[in-house]
Formats: sequence, C-alpha cells, structure tokens
Amino acid sequence: MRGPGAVAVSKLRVQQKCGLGCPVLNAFLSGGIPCGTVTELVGECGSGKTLLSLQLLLSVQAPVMRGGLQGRALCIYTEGRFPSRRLFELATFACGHADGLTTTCKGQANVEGESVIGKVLVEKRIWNGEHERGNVLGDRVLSRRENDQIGRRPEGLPVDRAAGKENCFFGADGGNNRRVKRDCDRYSEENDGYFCGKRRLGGDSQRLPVQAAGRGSQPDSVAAKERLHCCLNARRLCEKVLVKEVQTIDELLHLLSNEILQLLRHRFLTPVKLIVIDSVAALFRADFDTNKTDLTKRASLFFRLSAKLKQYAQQFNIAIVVTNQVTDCFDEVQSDQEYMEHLMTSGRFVRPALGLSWSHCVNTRLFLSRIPQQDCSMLHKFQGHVRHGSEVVEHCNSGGGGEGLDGRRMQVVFAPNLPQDSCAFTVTRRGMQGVQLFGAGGMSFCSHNSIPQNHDT
Amino acid sequence: MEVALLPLPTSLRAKLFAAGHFTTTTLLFLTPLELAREAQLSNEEALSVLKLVPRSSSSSSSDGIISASSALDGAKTAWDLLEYEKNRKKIVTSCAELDMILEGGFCPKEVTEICGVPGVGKTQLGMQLAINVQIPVKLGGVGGHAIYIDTEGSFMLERALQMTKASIDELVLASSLSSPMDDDLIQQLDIDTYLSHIYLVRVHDPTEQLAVINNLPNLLKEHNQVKLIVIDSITFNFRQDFEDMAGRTRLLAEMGQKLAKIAEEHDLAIVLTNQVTMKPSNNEISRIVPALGESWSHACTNRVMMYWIDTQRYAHVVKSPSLQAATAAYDIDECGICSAKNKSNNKSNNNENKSNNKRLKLDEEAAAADSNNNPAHFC
Repeated sequence: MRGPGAVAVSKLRVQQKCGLGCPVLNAFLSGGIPCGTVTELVGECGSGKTLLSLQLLLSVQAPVMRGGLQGRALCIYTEGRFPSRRLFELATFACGHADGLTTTCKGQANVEGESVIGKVLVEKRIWNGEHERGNVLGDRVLSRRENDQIGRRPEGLPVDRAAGKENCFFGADGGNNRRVKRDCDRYSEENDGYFCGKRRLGGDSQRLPVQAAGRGSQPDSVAAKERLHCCLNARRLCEKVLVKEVQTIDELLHLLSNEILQLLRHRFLTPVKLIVIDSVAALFRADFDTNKTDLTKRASLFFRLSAKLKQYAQQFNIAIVVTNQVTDCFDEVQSDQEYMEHLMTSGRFVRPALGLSWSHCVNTRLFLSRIPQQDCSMLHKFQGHVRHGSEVVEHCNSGGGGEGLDGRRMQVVFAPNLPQDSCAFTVTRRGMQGVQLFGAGGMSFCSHNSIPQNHDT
Repeated sequence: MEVALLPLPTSLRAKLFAAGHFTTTTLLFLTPLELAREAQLSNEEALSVLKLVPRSSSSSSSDGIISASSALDGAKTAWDLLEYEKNRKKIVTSCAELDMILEGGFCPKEVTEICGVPGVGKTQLGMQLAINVQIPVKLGGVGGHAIYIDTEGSFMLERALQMTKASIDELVLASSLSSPMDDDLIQQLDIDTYLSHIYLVRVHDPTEQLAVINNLPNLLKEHNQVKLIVIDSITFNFRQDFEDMAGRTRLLAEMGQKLAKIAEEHDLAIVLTNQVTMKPSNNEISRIVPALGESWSHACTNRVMMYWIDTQRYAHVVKSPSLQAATAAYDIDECGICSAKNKSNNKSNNNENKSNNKRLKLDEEAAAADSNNNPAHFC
C-alpha cells in the first residue's frame, strides 16, 4: 500500500484566490477566498453572509485579471428559497448598469472625479466584453493604448452620459463587445417582450426598464440599449450559477459523492471554481438531539462533510465557502466552558454555531458582525478621514451623534494565511463593500477567553 | 562484559569465578601463562579464554566503565544516552520563551504532540518548525529537511513563503554580524532551497494517512536528510464516523508505535498536531481535552497544549518525561512564531484570571462603550 507522493513545496503554485468583487475586502483578505481550502462565514441573521455568498457566486466568474477565477459557481442552498432576485440585481450592478455605475468602492468614494469615469469604463469594458465571451476567446488584457484612451475621456460629462457614449465608442473597436451588442440588438428586436417574461428574475421592475425607458425617443434609446445590454450580461452571469436546494445532511453527502463529483469531473463545461453551502448550520439544526450519542454522531458527520469538501477543494482546486449561524452565549456561570473567543455583534456576545468540533473542520473562519449604533456614528464620521490611523482614533474619541449608517465589520477569527484583523464594510444595493477605515493596523477587538485546561499545575 | 556471558564450558567458567574473574576487564591485562597459573587452567584453555575476551571493550567505554551494549544487542547504557542527549541539536521554535520551556526546542527521536483550539497557532508552529529545521549547521541549526503531512489542507504556500523570507532575513542578519558569509552558506540561505527541502504530502482520508505513515521509511530512504516530520493534524481523518471505536484505537496505537520507531531509527523529530474536544465531567463543567481519547495520550513522548488567555497565546507542557510542566507566552506575527510582545505576564494569577475573565471583559466593554477612550475597543 503506497500513499500519495511527497512534493517539494518549491514546486507548488501559490493558491489562486477568488475575489469578493470589492478591492478593499480583497486587499483585506490578501486576494480573496483561497482555493483548496474551506472558508466559513459566520454571522447573525442579516449580517451579510448570504449577500457575500451571492457576491462570490458572481465574482468567481470574472476573469483572473479582475480577481475572479473564470469559472462556474455551485450554490447549495439549505434555507428556504434561493434569493435569485437579489442575485440578478447584483449581477446587473456587476455588469456596470448605468444606475449601478459603481462596481468598485473607489468609485463610491468620489463619484465626481474623472478617475471614476475611467475606472468604470475599464470595468464595463472588461465585464461586458470579455467576461462571458472569455471562454471562447480567452483572456484579453487591456492594451496600454486603450487604457490611455479611457484616461482621456471627457471629464465634464455626467457619468451617465459618458457611460452611454462609451458603449458606442468601444463598440467600434472591441470585437467581443460588438458581438454582445449585436446579440443585444437582436434580442431587443426579435424578443420585444423578452424581459417581461423574465421579469421575475429581475425582481423590482425599475431595474429592468427596457420598456419603461421608452424605446421610441431617440436620446433615450442608447440608454435603453445600454440597460438591455446589462440585463443580458447579468442573465449570462446568473446562468452560470448552479443552485441546488438541499434539506438534510444525508442528502448533501449523497449529492457530494455522486452528482457533484460528476459535475466537477465534467470535461466540457466551464469548470466549477466555487462551491457555496448556505448555510451548513441549517443542515444540522433538525434531526439531532443534544444527548451524547447524537452529538457524537453529529460531530462525525461534520468531519465527513468537511473531509469531502477539503478533498474536492484540493483535487479540483476550487474555493469552498460555507456559512454558519451564531448562537447567543448568555451563560456567564459557565465561563470555564468558554473555549473560543467571544465574538460581538449588535452589542451582544455570540459564538459560532455547531460547536468546537465544527470549528476544527474549517480552515478559515470569517466573522461578519453588525456594529452597534454608537460606533456606527464613528464610522459615519470617518468616511472622510481615511488614511491616518492615529487621527482616526482621535476623532473617534470626540465621537459624534450621526446615525442611520449601516455599519458592519468583517473579522478574521482564524486563518492559515491571515493575521487576526478586521475590516469595516457597508451593505448597499450594490452589494458588500469594504470601507478603508483604519489604515494603521486593525482593531484588535476580538477577545479570547482562557482555556483553563491543565494550566494551574 | 561479564565472564558469565562468554561462550565457555561450565567447568572453565567455574574455575574463572573461583579465581575471582567476574568481568572481562580483569582478564584483559593477563597473559595466557598468568591466567593458567591463577585459575589453574591448562595453557590451551587459558589461551582460548583470552581469545574470547573482546579487546575493544576497553576502548569503547571511557574510564573503564563497562559497556553492556555487546551483552544486549542494540542496548545503550544510560550514560551513553545522556552523552547523546547533551550533544544533540534541537529544532528551535523562534520564540525564546517557548524554547526555554522545551529546553532548547523540539528534540530528535521524540514524538511531540501539539494540541489546541482552532486558530491558536498549531499549523503556524508546524510550518515554522519545518522552516527552522533547515537552519544551516554553521549557524547552529540542525540543517535537515522536513516532511510535512497535511491532512487538513491548511498548509498555504503563501504563508510558508512569507515565513521563510522572514526567517532567512533574520539568519542573514545574524550571520553577517558574526562572520563573513561564504558561498556555501549563501546558497543554503535561499528561499527556493528552503522550500525545495520541505516535502509536502496531502492526505484526504484515514486509509491514505495510514498508507503514508507505512510508507514513511521508503520516503525517508529517498530523502535521507529529513530531520523533522510534521503531521498536521493526526486527528482530522480519524474523527469521521468510525463505526468500530475499538478498531480506531487499535489503528491509532499502531500508528503511534510506527511513528515512535521511525523517530528513533532515523534520528528525527516528529511533531503531531491534535485537535481538542469538550469532555463533559460530573459537575456540569466541560473541560477541553485533546481529541482521540485517553489511550492515544500515551502514544507521544511530549504533549504541549496551546491556548488563549484573553488576547495572549500560551503554550504549556502538559506531559513530558524530561521537561518540567511550564508555561510560556508566544505571539504570531507576519514573520511566524515570535516572543510575546506584550510583557504583562499574568501567569501568576491564572486561577483568578480564569474565573474573572468574563466579568473583566464585560467591564471593559462597558468602559469602552461609555467613554470610547480605548482605541482597541471602539468598534
């Protein structure tokens, strides 16, 4: 019996990372979610776990130079219905919808600046033109000349109009783009009510205003075409996301060792590069009692699931993301039991669900939390002062009374390649975006409790 | 060596005993004639006795101490072992305090287990050791290679690269201070060289893990400079549903024995990481104990527990035949394992800390919320 061979580490390649679709968060996670490992997102409800999952499902499809992995995504959804409308909405933003111009955080920070226009154009170009066609035509890197042209875009133009013009501009020289545009025209002509039929995908109808835009009036038709164009691309993005709804752990394990394995081995499809399980906690919520035998059985299932996931992650070089819920910890008496750090969200202490055994099953744990109200005001205050760590702290002390900002935080609880640190982010309709608040060092907020084990000898 | 052990007829042996020769040392300096006269043997008999006396025995043991190694094949005297232990080089951890409680680092010929909660730094320590084992002999290191068996998928090249770079920079700095670098050393202190001397084995199920461990002797033949084997973690694959718990125990025990044997025969250090689990006890307070059960705890020579107290990491020697039970604080930064930066040592009041921990934290939170004057807690 001969085991797997040993490889000198120098022969390995650095693991690819699946970007999050936001440069600040990508920088925070040094590129994104690493392939070959299992990453867990923990958070209370409404902290953004599912949103981030959706965002990943889209961003994994981006070309490698845009931080994606140019692959297909598989989502195993265990909690009710998959939020497909939200996914489509995010997809339209990712495609650079005129209303969703800011696909980057940088864009949001200074909407007026010309750099934004340039940025958006690059963004649109890559997403529109190369993204979906990339499989056929391969990566195309923006040449220097093209970049320069983008840099010289008219500055004074309102963003919206610039974007409209840009479409024509690039239509002339981008082969890919032309093709997309042709498709787009064809669709708009042949299938007039196409998007009416597909409206449920798009959800709120003002996002899909093909008809509302008034196809008759000449100045608007460019914008309408533009929107259609985005919808089309967004649809393609959504088409590359496979969703499977699963209710029990047995079902999932069966699926993993049969259908999913076949899918991963499939030679002719775009390779799956990301598997999301949202959420893993829901699988184990039912069916298990809290007596000892059930707990043992549950724990062994954790390890079985995790072993399978890790195996696929390494074998097929894919990124795996699982989401997990939190449980409150109110048992102050049992402080001897506290094995893990307390995490804080919305001003209360919580602990990742599924216990200690499960935490051994993941390689990386990211904690998403909401920032309590009074701290939100600080966040609000600091959007202006970004880069000076010390200054930020000073301002912080003078704390003001702003309110209503949706402040949240992403924290690395443990990871093989990252220090324990945290990063603020906001959630908007465009998705999750990091806020570069604390330039110097992290807020060492996470507090670790003692393990009294054998220590007092 | 004792006379009783020489292959002699009983009558001859009895005569030698009668003459007072119990060990061969007294025979060494006698001529056949003298012996024949003393023990009343014939000259031929005396000659045959002296031929059997090993001449080398006096030279191998200093100060006339008798070596028993020839008596029991492969055995060594405690003194020899002590001499060996004094001279052996240990693998340093890069954290002075940790090295101190381990009396210099991780020892060759020993199996050491590191246990701890996720995120406390088990994998980081494993990677650090795989790098530190390569510190060249000239710079006081072991100068060996490492095999890293990764069962959890947490070995990340990115991080290994970062730590190697930091480690090499430090070595270059240290060596350039003392003596000029020669070409040989420069070649050794190279990131690519370092990384090419870590042999990574990825394992995905218990069968594979057993196969790899069975195959280790072959692997070691191939890479004969290996001085360290890290298994991260020994546990993961064995916590999946094993129907037969007795069978699992048996497999684990077998694995433990094999590892101990490999460590001894190939003169290398073996470091295992182990997970922890909650063990409910009578008074409703669960304790954290290393996984894999009681019988496994006998499998390794040393056991080090790693844990958090507040935001500080600590390592504690739980079990060791030669080390004292001691605790050391350590940190992990971008360079890898390092000494604790925060020198406020709360080792003395651990018990108090333990019980008041939560309350303290709540107080801190309250204070932070009130005045916001603590930058560490403002978000």
